[in-house]
Amino acid sequence: MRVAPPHIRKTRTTADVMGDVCIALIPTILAAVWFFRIDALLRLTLAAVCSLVAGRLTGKRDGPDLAALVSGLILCLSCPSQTPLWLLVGGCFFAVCVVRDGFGGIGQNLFNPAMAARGLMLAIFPSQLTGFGLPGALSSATPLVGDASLFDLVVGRIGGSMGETSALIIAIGLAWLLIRRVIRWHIPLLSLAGFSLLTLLAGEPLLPALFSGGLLFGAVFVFTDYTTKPITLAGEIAFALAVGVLTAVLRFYGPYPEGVCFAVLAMNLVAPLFEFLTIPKGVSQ
Amino acid sequence: MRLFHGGIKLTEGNELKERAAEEHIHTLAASTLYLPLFVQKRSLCACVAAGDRVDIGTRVAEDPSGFLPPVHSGVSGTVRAIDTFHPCAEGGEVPTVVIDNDGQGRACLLPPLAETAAPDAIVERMYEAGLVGMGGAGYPTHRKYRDLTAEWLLINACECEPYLAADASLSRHFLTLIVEGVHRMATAARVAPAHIRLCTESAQTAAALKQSGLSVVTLTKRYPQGSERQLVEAVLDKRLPDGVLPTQAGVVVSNVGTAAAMGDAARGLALTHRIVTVSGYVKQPRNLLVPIGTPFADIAAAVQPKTADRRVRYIAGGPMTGRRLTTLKAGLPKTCGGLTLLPSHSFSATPCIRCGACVRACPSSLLPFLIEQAVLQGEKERYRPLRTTACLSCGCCSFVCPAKRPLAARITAAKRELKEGIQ
Ligand code: SF4
Ligand code: SF4
Repeated sequence: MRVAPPHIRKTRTTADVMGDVCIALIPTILAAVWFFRIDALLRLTLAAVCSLVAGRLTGKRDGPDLAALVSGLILCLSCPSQTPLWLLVGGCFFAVCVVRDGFGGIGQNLFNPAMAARGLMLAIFPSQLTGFGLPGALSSATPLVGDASLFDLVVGRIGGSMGETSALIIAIGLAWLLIRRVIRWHIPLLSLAGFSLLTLLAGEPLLPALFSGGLLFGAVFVFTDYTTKPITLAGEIAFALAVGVLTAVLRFYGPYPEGVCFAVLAMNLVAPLFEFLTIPKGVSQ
Repeated sequence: MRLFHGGIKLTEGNELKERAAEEHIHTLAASTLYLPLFVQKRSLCACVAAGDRVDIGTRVAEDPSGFLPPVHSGVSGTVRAIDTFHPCAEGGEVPTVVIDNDGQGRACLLPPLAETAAPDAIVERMYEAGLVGMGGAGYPTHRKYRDLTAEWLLINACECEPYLAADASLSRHFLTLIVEGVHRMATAARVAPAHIRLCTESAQTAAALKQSGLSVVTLTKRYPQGSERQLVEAVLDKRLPDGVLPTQAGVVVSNVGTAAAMGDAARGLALTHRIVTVSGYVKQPRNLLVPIGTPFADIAAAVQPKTADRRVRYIAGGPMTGRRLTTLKAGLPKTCGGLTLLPSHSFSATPCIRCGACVRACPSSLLPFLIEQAVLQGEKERYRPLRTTACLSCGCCSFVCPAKRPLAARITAAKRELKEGIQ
């Protein structure tokens, strides 16, 4: 096989792709540290170290497992700043070693590792993840923002999880992913479209809903996860619309105040079906 | 700009390609020719015996089934042997006709083709003169044009690969020959002159071709624009269904090199020489006019590698679809338009991350990563639903894969398995 054509390859490697995702997360990380200070710094560092160690244990052996790092950082950013450290450590190992590598490893796992870990943590330890009574934290009722102004939501504020401080900051990450062609625009845009549609139908105010509760973070960094979305363009479009709608349904009518996590997990289950149904048939005769 | 679906943007080798296109064509004299008696998986029989005197254009071997056209000598001289096993560019060692050049350059010509030759006579001449597609696939030209009534004739001057510049230099230096060949081909395929299109990706080549008075289409630079189906898609905005050949859809596509060979054939010259671009990891790329059967070693000797590094790889053809040569003793086949030197490099595959790059790059709209998975898991029943036979073996999927998976190689193997299963 080694002598088979093509004899030249693009220079970009898997590590480059994952590195680009890490770079795209940097603005969000900096914003988290700015708003939550030492709490965020400590937790992000811990999550990074744990996920890299976890990756080394069950995943890639040669060089740092940047894909695991991405999962760990996304998990950490989707948690509140007061998350107990032991819970975060457990979450990182669970995400990488069980959800990802226990289900076939990179590119094979059924669920998004960060969101599966997040969902399990929330299900088992709801009070540790929601019970800190922070303004606008996940415990607050709909709309998630409490009394935060729209300006705060877009530019920056304290509340909710560490990764949802500022829409503008997330947009910088999105721009980087698009410029580097790591992702295409369809999923972020269409998932927001699906969400908006249902929000309007439900008669909720659209803009505060759009800019709060981790939706933007999810649309850019979670819904776009290569492994757990359909690979075909038509599949991606259907997946994006559905996950947006489901997020809104769960947020307005579900048991938890937030919808992204369980919407993604539910859609991960049907993504293979979407992919199968949209395999290109070729040109018909 | 007109475009086909999928494909990749290749920058590698473009500058060398332009430099090679500007070069004059150098003629290479071979002291010995090696003409294998096993071509495209078919056995040929020799028409000469050891010790025979041959001229340029003497018929040396032919295919008893009549599928492949005959092979002719590219030098005048003596047949040294007809059955020694010798390395072959298609791999392995096969019986080979070996001809020593006496340097006198005697030629034997076929009678020139009448101006008014009918389609059948032209097709007959295609066979006699040994014409095959010069773009790489090497499909026998007489088979393609036999009893054909097409609507369009597309002449492909797109260069099938990065680095190669044979089409560009032909268009610049042999335009009258090309024009003559194109008219003969149009007659053979019963295509009206208004439905002939010369197609190229390069502005310079387009400028050269425009002097012919025929209509020229300039396409976007994108690989694999030189592939027939992609050419039809870009020029005529027609996507061909799987398994349907362009000729079945009323379009006949021939390489500009084949047109030049047709021009020669009309004047009585068999296909005995071709243009070869020697490029890649070399100080100065060159276009050479080489007798078919010249050992690659002689061709390689015409250029200097960039460094004296012995770990350079030699590729017969271009870097995307060419075959790596394990020995330079093999003779140049009719279909090989390049010798590309590349620095030694190996790619180690990591697990697929499902990034979708291969899916977007595939000009046939396949899901390369899934076909590879089916191959690795031995699930042959999935080959057909995944449309494996529609693979062009263009290599785009492997090229873009960040995990460096050998997708094209595995899919090509699966396709071959399916096709051999049919026969
Ligand atoms: S390009 Fe490579 S890594 Fe990406 S989906 Fe295809 S096979 Fe997988
Ligand atoms: S080699 Fe085959 S599967 Fe790969 S891109 Fe080309 S046509 Fe598609």
